Amino acid sequence: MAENRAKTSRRFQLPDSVTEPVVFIGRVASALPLLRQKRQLRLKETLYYLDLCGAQSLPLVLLICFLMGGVLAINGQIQLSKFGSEIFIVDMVGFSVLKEFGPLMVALIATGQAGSAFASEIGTMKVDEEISALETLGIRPAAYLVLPKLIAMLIALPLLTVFGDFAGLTGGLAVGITVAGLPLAAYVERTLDILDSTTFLLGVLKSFVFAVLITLAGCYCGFRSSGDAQGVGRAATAAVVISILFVVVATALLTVLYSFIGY
Amino acid sequence: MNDRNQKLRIGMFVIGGVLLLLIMLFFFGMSDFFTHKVAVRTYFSESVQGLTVGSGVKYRGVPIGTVSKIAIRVSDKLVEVNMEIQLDHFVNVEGGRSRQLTEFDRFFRSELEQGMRCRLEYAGITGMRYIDFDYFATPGQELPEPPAGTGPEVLYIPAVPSSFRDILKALNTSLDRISRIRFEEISDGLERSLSELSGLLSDPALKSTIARINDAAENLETSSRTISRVLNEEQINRIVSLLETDLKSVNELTTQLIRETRDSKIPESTASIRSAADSFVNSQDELSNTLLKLNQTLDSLRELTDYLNQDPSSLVSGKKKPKVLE
Repeated sequence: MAENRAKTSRRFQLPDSVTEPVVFIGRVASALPLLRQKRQLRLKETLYYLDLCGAQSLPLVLLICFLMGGVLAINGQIQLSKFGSEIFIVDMVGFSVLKEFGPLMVALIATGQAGSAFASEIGTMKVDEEISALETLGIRPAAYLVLPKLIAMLIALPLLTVFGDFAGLTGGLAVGITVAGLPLAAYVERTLDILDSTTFLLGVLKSFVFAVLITLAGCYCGFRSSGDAQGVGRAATAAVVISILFVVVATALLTVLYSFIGY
Repeated sequence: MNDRNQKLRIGMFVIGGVLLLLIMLFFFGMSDFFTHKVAVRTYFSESVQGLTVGSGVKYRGVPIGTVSKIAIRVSDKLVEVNMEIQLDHFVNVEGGRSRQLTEFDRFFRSELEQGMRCRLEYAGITGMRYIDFDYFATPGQELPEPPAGTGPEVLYIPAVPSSFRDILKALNTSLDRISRIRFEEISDGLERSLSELSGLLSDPALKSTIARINDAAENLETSSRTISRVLNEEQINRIVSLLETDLKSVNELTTQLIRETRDSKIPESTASIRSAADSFVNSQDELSNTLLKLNQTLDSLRELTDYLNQDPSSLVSGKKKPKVLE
């Protein structure tokens, strides 16, 4: 009987590349209830990652999103001026930044900034056998290492998205009033007229999903890294690539999902 | 110190982010919660293509609200459009919410009597539409009754057909009239006429006629030239003066004739002639009777003569009695 069960389990066993990510997600999920205990929160580490992923990324986010808004506005001006409808630059920039490009660009910056850092950090700990030491001490690495990063990212990424949205709209405004020659009051009034809080909040909501994906991808690649310096490098690269892939796929899925509810 | 800088950085980041989030939420729609709105409803019997929830509502071009709901009434197939009018766009409508509503209601009802109606208008070349409130009806025109089911909780604004619909209707009417023209029959008739004309033009008789007309025209021209050569202006003047003299004589003669005719009492003479003719008609009847009797007399005389030829003695002995069988 036991032999038959063993044979059956061997026959239907999924490859490790499929099961391991699921097991990893399960470990992190099972560690979430620990957050109710204040001691498990590890506030110092959480603030460190909040600084790394949020405050230190802010200048880069502001610059890139400002330029992105400007680029969108310039392209819109080139096309829309043919029809004498430059005022629709506001619609183009507003909806593009708030719904798609704001959260997406912030997530990509966070991938480069945080995802690779998470993978490198955990990978290095694995090389130094610190993770094995934690397990020996009875500490669950998923809870100890992943949860502070996850919490920090869940706080940092939405806030960065808010900053990114604002910077993108400002970039569009700058181009709109300088290149397209739109009056400042008209641009601002049109922006406030067409954009609503739901559009804005749905964009911010995307960033929560991206935060989870980037953190899990970065940490998983770190845990999966082989035990040498080159393995750490490969883990960091894989973390960035997988995170970008996940973020883009998630953007597509969320956009389709939002379209079902009329946004 | 380094730890303090980190905390400061994080604090600024979090506080700045949350503040920005709240500010953007406020400007992107949360401010709507603090504005007073009033519900207005209308019904369209035409297509509302291009009108969506959030489309603008304008009063004489001034944005005053947005479309909040669009639905189809299954009972009468009318498109029900609900709108939210922001009272902040109306100056002098102040005070508390209830007073604002009263002022707005009074204003809109008086404007409806002045002919204010709503109509679908295009917002540009994109096909998007908005609802425009303007004075499309004549002042004092009777307000149409709101469709059944329109409660008193909303203000009903009657709609008028859009200008696009008018154009479409005119176009449809024109196309309908054009479609009624029987182009095939016209084409057949034209073709037939052309064929007949072609046959007529190729007819030798026509060519001969044209040749004769040409000859006549040449003769006329020759005659005209001859007359021109024979008669100079002086002769023509003399002929004309003679004609004038003759015409005067004819005129005098006519006048004299009229006078003499009047003097000759033609009506009386005519009456006498008519009376004589009647008498003649009567005499003719009498003459006919006389002739008839004379004819009968001649017949009797012929019979007498024949009898005497057969029996001359009867002149002395008289007429014999016919023999009777015993």
